[in-house]
Amino acid sequence: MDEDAVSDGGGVELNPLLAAHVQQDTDEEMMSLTVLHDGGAVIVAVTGEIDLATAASLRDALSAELAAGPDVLIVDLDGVEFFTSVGLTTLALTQRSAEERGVALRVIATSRATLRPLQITGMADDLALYASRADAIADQPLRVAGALPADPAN
Amino acid sequence: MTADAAVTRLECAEITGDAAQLADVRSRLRKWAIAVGMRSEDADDLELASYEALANAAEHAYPAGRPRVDLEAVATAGGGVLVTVRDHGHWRPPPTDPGFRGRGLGMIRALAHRSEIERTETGTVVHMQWFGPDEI
Repeated sequence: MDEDAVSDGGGVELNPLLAAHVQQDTDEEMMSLTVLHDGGAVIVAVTGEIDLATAASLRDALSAELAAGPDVLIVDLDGVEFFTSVGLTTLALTQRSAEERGVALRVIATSRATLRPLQITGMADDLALYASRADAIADQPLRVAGALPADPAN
Repeated sequence: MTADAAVTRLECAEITGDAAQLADVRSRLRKWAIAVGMRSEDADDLELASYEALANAAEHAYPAGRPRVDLEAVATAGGGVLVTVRDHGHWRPPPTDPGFRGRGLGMIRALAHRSEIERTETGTVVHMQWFGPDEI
């Protein structure tokens, strides 16, 4: 994962050394969340499984970040291995709240495990998807049509 | 690519809908699917679709009371897999706003090669099929 500082993202810079770093293990480590704050942007990085056991924790965390009123909320699903409809619902609800609050919601999804549910439900068309944190910060969206590799490793 | 000595049938009865139990069932199902020769991507789809069927049964069929859901998976001679998820509750149709609650069934339809949903007085049965290399 590219942790380099990005300077072409409209003035938002991310320096992992300066970022506030909060780690929170939930539900017997089936999902973990890392939240990075930097200026007006917040990144919530999710690893593990987003299912019935964990989605409520994710929803709570995203709601709390939205309530703080960032300019941009980035949800990084790069470390998610199992992504179910309740996770899609969580994103849809977060998207709705973000719109109401005038927050730009950006979602990082690169693996088959996350892109496939987004694509077969049509949600990929409704969300702003990105291939990396750098792209999300710079607002360089993923072109979903070519997002799935022909032969994904997993 | 039939599964010679592999167990060609997996049964998980009386699943209660507990989230940790659902996670356990779906990971056992995926391991079984790989053991009977299913392609990795199909096994991923089977795992996700089956989870959605179980979650749907647990969430929707039992507004009150304890869910009881049965899952059966069978490997066919042609290298395919059939999964049946059966609940014993009253079917509650998805609400009219499909945006937020109705995605599970849509995912099942998209992930399985064939699917069929039976709604009866005694419960709902979701049948899902993945074709094997010799069945297309």
